[in-house]
Amino acid sequence: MKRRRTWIVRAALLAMVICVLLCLGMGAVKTPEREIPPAMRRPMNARTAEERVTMRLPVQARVSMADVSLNVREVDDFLLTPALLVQEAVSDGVVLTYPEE
Amino acid sequence: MKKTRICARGLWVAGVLVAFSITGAIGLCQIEPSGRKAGLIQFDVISDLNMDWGGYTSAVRFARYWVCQDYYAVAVVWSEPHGRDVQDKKTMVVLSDREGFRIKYELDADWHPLNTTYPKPVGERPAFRWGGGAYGGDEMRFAEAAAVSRRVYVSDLEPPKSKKRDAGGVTDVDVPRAPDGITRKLAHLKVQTKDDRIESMDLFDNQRRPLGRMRYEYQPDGKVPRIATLVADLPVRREKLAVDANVVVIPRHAGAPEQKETYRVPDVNHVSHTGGRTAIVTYSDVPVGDKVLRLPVKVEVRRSDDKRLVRSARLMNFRRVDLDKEGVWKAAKAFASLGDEYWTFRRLNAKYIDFQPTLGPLRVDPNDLAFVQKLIAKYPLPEVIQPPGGYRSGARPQVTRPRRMEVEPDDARLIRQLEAYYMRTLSTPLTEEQRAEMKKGTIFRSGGRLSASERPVAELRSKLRMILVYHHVPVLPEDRPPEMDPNDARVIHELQAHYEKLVTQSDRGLPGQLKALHVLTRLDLMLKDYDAFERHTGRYLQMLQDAGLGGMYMTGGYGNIQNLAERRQYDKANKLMRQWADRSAGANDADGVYRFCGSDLGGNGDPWAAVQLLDRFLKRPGLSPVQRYEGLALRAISLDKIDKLLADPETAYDESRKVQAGWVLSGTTKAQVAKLVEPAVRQAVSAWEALGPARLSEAKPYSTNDMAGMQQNLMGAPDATRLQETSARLDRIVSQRFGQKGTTPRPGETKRPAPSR
Repeated sequence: MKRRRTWIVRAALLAMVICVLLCLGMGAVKTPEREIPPAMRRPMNARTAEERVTMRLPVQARVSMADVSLNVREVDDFLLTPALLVQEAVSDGVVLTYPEE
Repeated sequence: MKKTRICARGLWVAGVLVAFSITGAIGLCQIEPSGRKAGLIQFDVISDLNMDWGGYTSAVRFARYWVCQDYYAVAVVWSEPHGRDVQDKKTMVVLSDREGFRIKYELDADWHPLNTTYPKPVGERPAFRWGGGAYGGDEMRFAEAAAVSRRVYVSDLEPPKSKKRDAGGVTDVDVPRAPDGITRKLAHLKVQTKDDRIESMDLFDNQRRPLGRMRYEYQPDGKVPRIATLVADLPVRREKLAVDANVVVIPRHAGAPEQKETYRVPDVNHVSHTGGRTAIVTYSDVPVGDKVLRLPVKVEVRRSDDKRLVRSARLMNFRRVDLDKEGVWKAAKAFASLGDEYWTFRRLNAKYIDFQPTLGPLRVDPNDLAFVQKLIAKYPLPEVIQPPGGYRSGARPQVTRPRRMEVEPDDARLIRQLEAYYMRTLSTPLTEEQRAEMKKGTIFRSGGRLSASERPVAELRSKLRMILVYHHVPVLPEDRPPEMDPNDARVIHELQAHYEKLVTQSDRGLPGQLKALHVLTRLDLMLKDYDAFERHTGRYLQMLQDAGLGGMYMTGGYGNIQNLAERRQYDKANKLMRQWADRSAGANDADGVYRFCGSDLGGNGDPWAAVQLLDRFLKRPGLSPVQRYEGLALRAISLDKIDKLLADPETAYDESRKVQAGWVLSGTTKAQVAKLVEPAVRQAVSAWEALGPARLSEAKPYSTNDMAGMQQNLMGAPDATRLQETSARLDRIVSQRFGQKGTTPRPGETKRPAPSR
């Protein structure tokens, strides 16, 4: 039973090895030499399997995919900005501010 | 019960607003800048949107607005380039009042989320669940709710005597909480006032986290202070990325029974508005009916860190209208509607321009895997051969590159059919059990979604796809659009007459004219009338130029040039390109030009256009050393790309690249291009070296584009900037052309090796 490991554990370990090599070889991370980056260290210190999965999920996610959509959201929501700005200007008792988008 | 509660909340909101208004009017009517009730106003907006991504880097949206104190409506009438946008918003209509957020989208009238009314309050914005450029437009309602929840009322500043005011004129204000379920994100204000006018105002939430800082500038003349500019500094914003689900992990071992382990994982913390935003709103006196109102006429939003313009809006044609709310809704729908003629045009466009070939029924058994493998073996693919001893041996893996072959037409058809069949097989609809689990918010993570039986199919599909990409695949008769039907030709001529009239009607405004010109150019392509296409493109470009839409001149104009090149109208394409490159280089700044040149739908997809544009742009005086370097680097990258395309025709594996090669060779020769590349690379490297310390910071060759997400996250590696990615691309070319390895600077390095001369 002990020999069984989930694919996540194996993939993460392999990725960690690659990353450590990359970090040390290319100097791409500004952490002190030989120190393990916090994103790698945290899941290793997790107390439970659940906590480990929770910590790993954001590490595995490609957030730049979400970033593109967050940019699109800004642009889309900008459609309402002129309406909200003018509404403040033609409403009694409202101080003019800039809305969110 | 629920409805009663919603009504009660609605009344509460109305009550609170009325109370605020009355208090404001009585107690603090002098404080500036504040609004004045002015009835229903209609106006038009042109929004210029810049994007940093692989798609269109510039988009323009045309919309009409109706606004009063109690509600507003928006109707998007057109967007550019060519009816598209960052997201296609044309025909979208929104009406928001105290009861609800009503939305309608004619282009996709069956899609419920964009064709419904969301009752208010709409609630908190949920964790962000979109990716890859997608975003549900209906979520705009949350942006409105957030904006309203942090609105500042004159009554919030009243009575001033009870507030603490320090020696610098700054007043600390605890904003009253809204009662029973009405959310006010704004909890605290720091207001600097002078002579009954607000100089600046810091907004905070209930945990004293900054929501934004508003700074006001006033017209210097006149007794009554009149706002001239509002500058809003908006911080980086905290976001939650949606996970909040059960993650099921399935251990995978040969021969071991499946045993699921389920974990509950919360949402992921993230940020948006990276770099911060600075919004500048310009106000002006605008005659509306018999009054002169102080209204916003221009909005500019920039990144706070590097001051780059990310979007802007021009507000114009203000006039008072006499309509009730339902009248406004009807007017908005009518204004945004495409009209019957446009739908007829869309049908013809799908038939003759955006034609999708039908390859007919599959005549072999797709389950006969031996047959399929034999078919695949006929067209050898590149293979990676690991050295003996694996990667531990230190030796590099060898990649075999077999000769590219001409795929036989019957094989090409079969390969495409099989690839499509396997694709459908692999994307079978979810089972009932899977649907039920999805509804519960369960995510399956089982080391890849494919089952053991699906994996060989996926492998076959991948190889079939690779054959289509790697080898030379002929164009099949089915790929050609149908011959023009005489009835369709008659309809096209009727549409031409209709839209020619619309182009000349100035009452339709710029969006109406651009829409008409777009249809006319597409009709010209259907009829293969390239003289008319050239003429209509000329008018299109002139309109964009006259409207000061330089980014769209570049993006939209390039689309039309590409249309000509794709149809092998090289002379016309070259003539248009010269004009386009001259004017685009003059009308855009370095950021706009370089974004276009790095985009897949711009210069990255068409290096020839990028070179023409950059050749002109780099002659512009006053470029900073970094701007000059970035331009030279992009030019070198584009020339390298063209040189590789022309030097090895084998790489011209698809039709678009063949078109690109043919187009380039219509104006130059392989030898001429080859002569340009190395000097261009040297020039770029010299410009990089001349940057001094910036070459290892701002312009450091560093890429996260090719880095796996997990690798980047684990290393805590920051996202590379556009300039750094460009430097990394240049670096690879230097390595390839001058045989230098490892030019990416390491921490101890101070100098990047120069190419041999």
